[in-house]
Amino acid sequence: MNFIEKALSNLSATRKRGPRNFAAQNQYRAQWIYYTPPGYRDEPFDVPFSFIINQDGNPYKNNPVQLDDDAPYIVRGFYCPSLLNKGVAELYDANTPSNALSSALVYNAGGWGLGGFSWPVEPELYCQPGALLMIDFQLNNSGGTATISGSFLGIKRRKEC
Amino acid sequence: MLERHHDYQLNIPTLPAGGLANVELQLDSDAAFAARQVKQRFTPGAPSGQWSYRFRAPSGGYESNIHRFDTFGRGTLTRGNPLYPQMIYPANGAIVVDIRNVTGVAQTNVKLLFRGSKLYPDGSMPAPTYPAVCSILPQVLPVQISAIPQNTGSGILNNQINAQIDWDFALRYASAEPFLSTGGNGTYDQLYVQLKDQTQKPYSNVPIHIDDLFGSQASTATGSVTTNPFWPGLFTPEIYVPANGILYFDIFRADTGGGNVTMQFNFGGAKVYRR
Repeated sequence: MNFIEKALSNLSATRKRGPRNFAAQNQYRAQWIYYTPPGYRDEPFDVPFSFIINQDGNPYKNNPVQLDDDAPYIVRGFYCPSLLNKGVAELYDANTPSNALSSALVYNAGGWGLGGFSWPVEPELYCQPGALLMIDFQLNNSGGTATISGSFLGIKRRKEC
Repeated sequence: MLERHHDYQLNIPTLPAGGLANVELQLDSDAAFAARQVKQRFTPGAPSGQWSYRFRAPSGGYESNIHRFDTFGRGTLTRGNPLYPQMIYPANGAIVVDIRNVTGVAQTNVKLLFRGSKLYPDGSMPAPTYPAVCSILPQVLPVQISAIPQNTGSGILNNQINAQIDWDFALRYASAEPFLSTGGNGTYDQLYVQLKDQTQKPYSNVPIHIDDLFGSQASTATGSVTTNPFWPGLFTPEIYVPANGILYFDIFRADTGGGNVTMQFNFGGAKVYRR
């Protein structure tokens, strides 16, 4: 192991230990504090999506976002600026059956991901390899269609080789 | 030490041409107050740039040597002026404020907001929190209030946010949006909300403007904020609602235009399942 590899290894080891006095119940934690289990490596990975939705006031449920099947995916952010002022949406996690992330369809997705930055998903959502993330939309009855684009942001958790 | 989110707002109905000195914002007697942010709330009668302020620290000294706007130093027009380190005022004390009238003409409805936490001794009040073993899920609880009139008079009271029988709710942020079901935004200007716990104990001394409580892109209440919200209002610390618990919020509006407006209030945070 050369100097650079050793340095990287040390950095990685520090990360895996987590911060001093780490407590899972401490809700005020930075996103980077999430703990990477020993033997795994987290890679940044984003999952963009795009749907064409009728703007007719009717709900369009279960629009699927397919995740890769090579590694678990962990959602830590959401970004969907094209929904702004067009209607309501509801997100779900990737469990079977899935859990809704709001108690109803929410106007502008509750503000999620409408600004210049992604919206932090806290706590993170763990998704099995190959799972589906579903989104419901109901756009205002203004006629025609709208392309709703956005992205889930997070990490893939790969096993160390 | 138990912390509970709390806002104190100084309301001055009429600011004379010469300004005011030594105005006391009276604090509650039940707890000390840790001030962590101060913010000017502009109204049609007292708009941006027309008045400035300074206030006294708990020691009695001023926080700034001259009257200031939020934008001096660390503050911004949209987010106010952070107070770091926090300034802890005693229970039953007062924050003493001087207001300078820049225009030389009397102004109305001057509002200065102090955000922070009440500080209670351990064990002095119920403080539900996370169980030792739990599962947590991100969650948004929307509450839609239709056709809020221009002047609500005594208010639209006791709107509810409910935790359910099988989960607790940790309220961490909130956003509010005016909208029309046919598309586009409604308009509001002077719209205020007071949040209360299930014993009706409020989280502020008076109703707080929704752009401050729920976050807003705009520095003033402009009405149709088509890009609102870019960020939510934050509750620090979070408000923990046990299973079957309720939060209430009262709505007050005093606009002279804009007509009825339908608002969706989104309360965000986490569901907490006991295991």
